Amino acid sequence: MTGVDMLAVLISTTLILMMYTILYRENPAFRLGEHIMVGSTVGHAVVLAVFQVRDLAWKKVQSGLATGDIGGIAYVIPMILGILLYFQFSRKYRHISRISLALMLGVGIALSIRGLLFVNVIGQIKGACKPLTSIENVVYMVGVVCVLLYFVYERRASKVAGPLPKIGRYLLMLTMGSYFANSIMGRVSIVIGTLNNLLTVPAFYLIPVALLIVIADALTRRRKAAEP
Amino acid sequence: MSVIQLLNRNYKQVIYLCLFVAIAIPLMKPMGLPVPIDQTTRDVYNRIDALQPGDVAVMGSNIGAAIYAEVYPQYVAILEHLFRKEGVKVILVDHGTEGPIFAEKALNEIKAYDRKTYGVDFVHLGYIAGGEAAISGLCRDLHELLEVDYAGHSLEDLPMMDDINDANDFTIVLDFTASADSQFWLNQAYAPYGTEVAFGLVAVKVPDAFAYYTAGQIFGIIESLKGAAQYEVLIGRPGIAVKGMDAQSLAHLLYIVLILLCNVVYFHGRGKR
Repeated sequence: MTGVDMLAVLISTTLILMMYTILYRENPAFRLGEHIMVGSTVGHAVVLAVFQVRDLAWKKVQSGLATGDIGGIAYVIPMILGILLYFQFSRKYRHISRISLALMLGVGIALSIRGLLFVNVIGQIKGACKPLTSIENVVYMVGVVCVLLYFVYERRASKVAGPLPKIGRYLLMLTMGSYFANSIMGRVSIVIGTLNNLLTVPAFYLIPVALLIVIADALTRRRKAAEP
Repeated sequence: MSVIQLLNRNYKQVIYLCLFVAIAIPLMKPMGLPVPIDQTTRDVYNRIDALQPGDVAVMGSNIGAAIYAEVYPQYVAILEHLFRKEGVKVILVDHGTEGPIFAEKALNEIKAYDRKTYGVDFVHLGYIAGGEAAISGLCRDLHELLEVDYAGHSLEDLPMMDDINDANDFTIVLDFTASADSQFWLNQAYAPYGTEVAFGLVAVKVPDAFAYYTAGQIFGIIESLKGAAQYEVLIGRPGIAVKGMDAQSLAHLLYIVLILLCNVVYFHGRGKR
């Protein structure tokens, strides 16, 4: 490990430990770590965004101007539309930014609608209609029907359906449970990933240092609280 | 003080400490608990294993610090598998601003630059802003959207890219994310071009993806750290994910004990009322 690598590990470990101090209590070290994280993420995103504008638009405009290619010069239009978005910050001219927003929304919806229909409607209906050749498929089909019936709010239809909507409700609750359990598993995975970095040398040596600082703070606070 | 009174006290810090111990011990001294392989993971493995020389695998990524622990081990394991396949071309593309950092980290971790030739066997296109519009552009005409790769090399100078123009040329797409990017690939690559798609996801997104898996719209799912561990076992390269599964099991055991204790206290209190 080179000196630079070691320094990087120590800095990242210090920041991780600063963030974890929130488990003890709200404190300036946590807030500093939080601000550093937000600042560095935004800084990195801004730099990448500038590069994107340069590579995807500015260079094409430049080459368009040099060669007289109208297609290249046309890239100036999205650049202007991008600038218009900043009128959002002006109370007087805010409406101008809506031109760009409307265009973005229109393009976004137009792009996604063709795929969404095929994937989320037609594909899902086709996927749900399985041949009832196995217990798994039967359970799947019954589940689909019950859950759909749960969302039928017409009283007479609900009466005909009998207990099926209730079964649908239980199936939905099972699904929510699965979401929640997966969420917990995900959070544990995050802690595992972080601790795996912390529990390697030289990062490991910073843990007792952090613990000592926390204990010292706890003792100081207790002493202060005991003072009249 | 009775046991119930003792349990009723606020033990937030103690619980955190228990969790730390439950995770740290197996990480330092792995127990080697078995890792059963899910069908969703095996499907991804089998599909990648069946790739032929000349096939193109696209790895989309939205890996950032927030999902690094869950998704990065999957990314490395699959990248390693793809690099073992002779003649398979790999394209890395990022939809998140932090994606390029982790893509380069993964390439260095498997020593990609020493094992294969950049521009001939693999290319890193870097971050492309625009979400679904960017993925749509990539699938429609890659060369129209991009002129340079992540390092600034012109795509015209990369021999591998000569025959790759749109999603018809992608054999498979693997997307690693915690957000809606996976849906974007389905909308823009699978629906119009029929490109086969699989996901590497954070745990909380997995139930959503199962709807697509059971409908046959995606060929597999790598589920969080668990899926990464399974994939590491399948390719015979145990790493952080396999080590982490012991910790995962112990942490879940701790949660179960805590839930039981909470219920004991709750029902005891209700009985009294």
